[in-house]
Amino acid sequence: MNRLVDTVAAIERVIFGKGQQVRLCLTCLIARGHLLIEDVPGVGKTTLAHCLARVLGLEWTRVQFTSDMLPADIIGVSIFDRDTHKFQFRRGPVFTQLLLADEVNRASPKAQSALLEAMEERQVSVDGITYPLPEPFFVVATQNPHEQVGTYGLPESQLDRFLMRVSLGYPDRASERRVLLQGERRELLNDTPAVLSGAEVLNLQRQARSVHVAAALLDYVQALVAHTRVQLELGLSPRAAQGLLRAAQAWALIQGESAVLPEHVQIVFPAIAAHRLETRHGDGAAHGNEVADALIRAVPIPV
Amino acid sequence: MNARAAIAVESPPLPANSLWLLLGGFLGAVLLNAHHTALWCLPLALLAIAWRARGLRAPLRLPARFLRIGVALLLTLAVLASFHTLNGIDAGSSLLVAMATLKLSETSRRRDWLIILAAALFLLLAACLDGQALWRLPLYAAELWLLCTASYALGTDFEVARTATLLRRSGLSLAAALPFALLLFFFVPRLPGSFWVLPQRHEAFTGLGDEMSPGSISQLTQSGDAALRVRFDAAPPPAAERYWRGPVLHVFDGYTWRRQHAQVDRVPRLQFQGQAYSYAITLEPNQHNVLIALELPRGLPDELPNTFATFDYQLIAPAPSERAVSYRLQSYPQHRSLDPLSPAARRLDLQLPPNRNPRSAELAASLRQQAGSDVGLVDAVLEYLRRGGFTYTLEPPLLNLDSVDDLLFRTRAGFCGHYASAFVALMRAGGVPARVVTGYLGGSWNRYGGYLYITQADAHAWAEVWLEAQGWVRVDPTAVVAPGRLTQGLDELLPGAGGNGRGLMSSSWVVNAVQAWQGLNAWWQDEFIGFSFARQLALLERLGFRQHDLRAFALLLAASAGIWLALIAWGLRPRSRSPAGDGLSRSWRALERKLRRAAEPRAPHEGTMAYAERVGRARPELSSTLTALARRYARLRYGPAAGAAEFEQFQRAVRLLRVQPRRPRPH
Repeated sequence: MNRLVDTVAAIERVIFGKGQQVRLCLTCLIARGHLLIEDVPGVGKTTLAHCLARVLGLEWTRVQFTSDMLPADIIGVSIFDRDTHKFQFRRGPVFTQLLLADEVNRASPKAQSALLEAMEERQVSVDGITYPLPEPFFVVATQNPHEQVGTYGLPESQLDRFLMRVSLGYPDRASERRVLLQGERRELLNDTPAVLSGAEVLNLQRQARSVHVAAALLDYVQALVAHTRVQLELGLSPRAAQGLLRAAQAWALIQGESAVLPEHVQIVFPAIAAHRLETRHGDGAAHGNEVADALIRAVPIPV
Repeated sequence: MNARAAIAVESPPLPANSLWLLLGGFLGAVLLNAHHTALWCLPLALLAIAWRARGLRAPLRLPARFLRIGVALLLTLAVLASFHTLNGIDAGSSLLVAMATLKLSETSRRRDWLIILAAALFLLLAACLDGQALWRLPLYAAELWLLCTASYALGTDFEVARTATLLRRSGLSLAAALPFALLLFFFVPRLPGSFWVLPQRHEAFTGLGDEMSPGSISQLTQSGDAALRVRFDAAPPPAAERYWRGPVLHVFDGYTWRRQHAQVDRVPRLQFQGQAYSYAITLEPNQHNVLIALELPRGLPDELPNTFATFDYQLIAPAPSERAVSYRLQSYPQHRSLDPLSPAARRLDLQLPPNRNPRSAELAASLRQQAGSDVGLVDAVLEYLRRGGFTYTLEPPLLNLDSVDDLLFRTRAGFCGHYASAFVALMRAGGVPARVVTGYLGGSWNRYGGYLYITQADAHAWAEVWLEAQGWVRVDPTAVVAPGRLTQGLDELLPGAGGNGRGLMSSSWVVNAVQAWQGLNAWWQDEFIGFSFARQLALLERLGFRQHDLRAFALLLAASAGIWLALIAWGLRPRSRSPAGDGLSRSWRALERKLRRAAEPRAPHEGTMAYAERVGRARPELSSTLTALARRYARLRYGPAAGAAEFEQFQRAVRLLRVQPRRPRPH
């Protein structure tokens, strides 16, 4: 457990005043989910992703998505080898433990779907040969919600593949002061030690899955999900419900609890539900969060 | 990190779709009242609604307070100027439209929008009071649905539901309320003569009047408006006997016939003969107080107290009726006068203005001489009308003040009123007492409703003459000029009638559709609008309740309402609850009860840990105990199976917990 506390502390040394968001990101990764960070430029999306990769001790690659990108630029390409007279597969940037997909909505739908397929299958098939991706495998994608020109917004089915969406938002006054005083963040990042390793992350993922879930809690999760389906035309899918439970388990693990409580579900719920609900019901991240909060308020916790 | 801070949000602004629904609902309410509010109300409301609708997209600057007060005064004055009162349904509705419109200019919060909603509901009620025709019913229903949806949308804190969802849900709520509403409609006593009776309105209705001046009419408008509907207990009388008696006109000044309001005689006795017809009449609102009846009625209608019969066999109601009235009568087309004509009545019905219509007087004198008897004079005059080249037309030339002379010797064209007037004038000049009877002739049979439908276009005038041997005898001079008028409607009679729109009626499916619609209207009028206290008692009696066991009925009513509400409550019961009532939740609730004096109670969605932390912040001295208790509760409820011992510990700890009502003073 101490390792997790240390991990959070290590990240918070680089990302100031965003304890809740940092924990949510960590929760997402421990729940084996992919993460979407949605924010305006310059609030530290990339720094956060970079920092996560360093602290978790993962091998990572960054891909800047552009509109002329091809699927091969992500997955890799088969090249004819003159000597062996065979095609040889050159692995693309996706073969890594943590892939930072910067501005994912700038790429064409074709390139996006190549990435999203890899996210879902955790493997890549080229020319009939299947290459498994490393374990653990995370995608941390970022997108700028306000930039509309020349972007391809992720469709609902693809948004569903991101377990969570987190927004960092502007730092508060004190944190911003620290950022101003601190100077170059890159140096800070380089000084950040790896607290965990890939193997330990896998171990944590296993532990999270074994956090106790009582029947009473399942009742609550089901009531919450059912309420989204009653209240909205399109509620949360069973996949989202599954993700909700996994995330609540991971959150409980980070909090050092041995069982999942309704409060844990409530905390992770907006990050999981907002991006799935808002595209169908209105616009803007703030709106999705409002909907999620209202849904939480509407479902009683039986005692 | 606490859960509460994470989920607390500011109360969000009102959802936009609720405001659109509300503006739409208000617009609908104004439109439903447009026909009886002041003329300027509709454009004013439309402007204000359009302005607010634009404001839903772009920020809006609301006018200053003093400006609003000024406009309010101005609008009140405008209503006063339009109606000379603020009382009554028209002025009241206009004032409500004006003030609600003005309210739009200061509406920003939920409370203000609720006032607009209430005003719209009131306007809907006003529209219901004003117009109860069947065709308005779907409009009212749609408006009610819209307003309920708006209320539904305003009641939610956030815009998660689409308008379609809201519409579906409010529709379901209304549907659930419908049986209850019907129960109330049929069974809650309608006390007659109560405060909700509307003030009378003074408007001119088409149809029969207190006087008749045939010479002043150059074009008789054929109004298709309903005049009356008659439902016969058995077969209806033959077409030639469908004379519906209305106002009787006695006083003639050479140009205009008027009613005699004073009773010059008691009601002469009649001997009724032959076939009797029992029937129920629904009489549409009109401008006279004469109840229309098939010639000649026996007795008075029970349904309308204070009705009386006059010496000339009119049935008089105390006042012209504001809305449709229904009554039952029995009539005998065959009858005979038993009493002789009184001198006063004879004087009245021989009266002619001196020095008017001299040529007619000469004609009458010469015919009288040839004929010899009264009966002979009647035949002679009819023969004169038949042979004299007279034509029937609804567009007669205007007549000069000697209207009878002008008709008989110059124009020779007219409708029933002309010929009845001329015939009676000739009779009186020839010394035979005679009077003009106005009313309706014929009517069309509605086979969907099973009733006779009589419109204002069926209005007719005929004559009655006093013959010593027989008493009062009906003579219809129009029949000799246009024999078809008796058996056919006006439409078939007039060659040019095809051009005025009613020619369409000749195609059979149009006739069918019109009749079906009229039948449906009649059903609506009879069963719903005309559902009175008397009908209610009759219905109760049919269900087996006498007037004196109304108490049992009230109990039954309350019981059935209770059962219906219970059914709704059963439908609303919470479905997915954890097995309630186990020892752990009893204990936890006991803890919450104890903590009620320390802090706000736990919100339903608040987790137990979050609650304990919150109470702990309010009462630091309890903080550690509560956290431990909540932790233990969480372990018992959500943790892996715990032993009975742990539960008992929790129970004991809750029992032992003492919460001071006030925070103890720090030492």
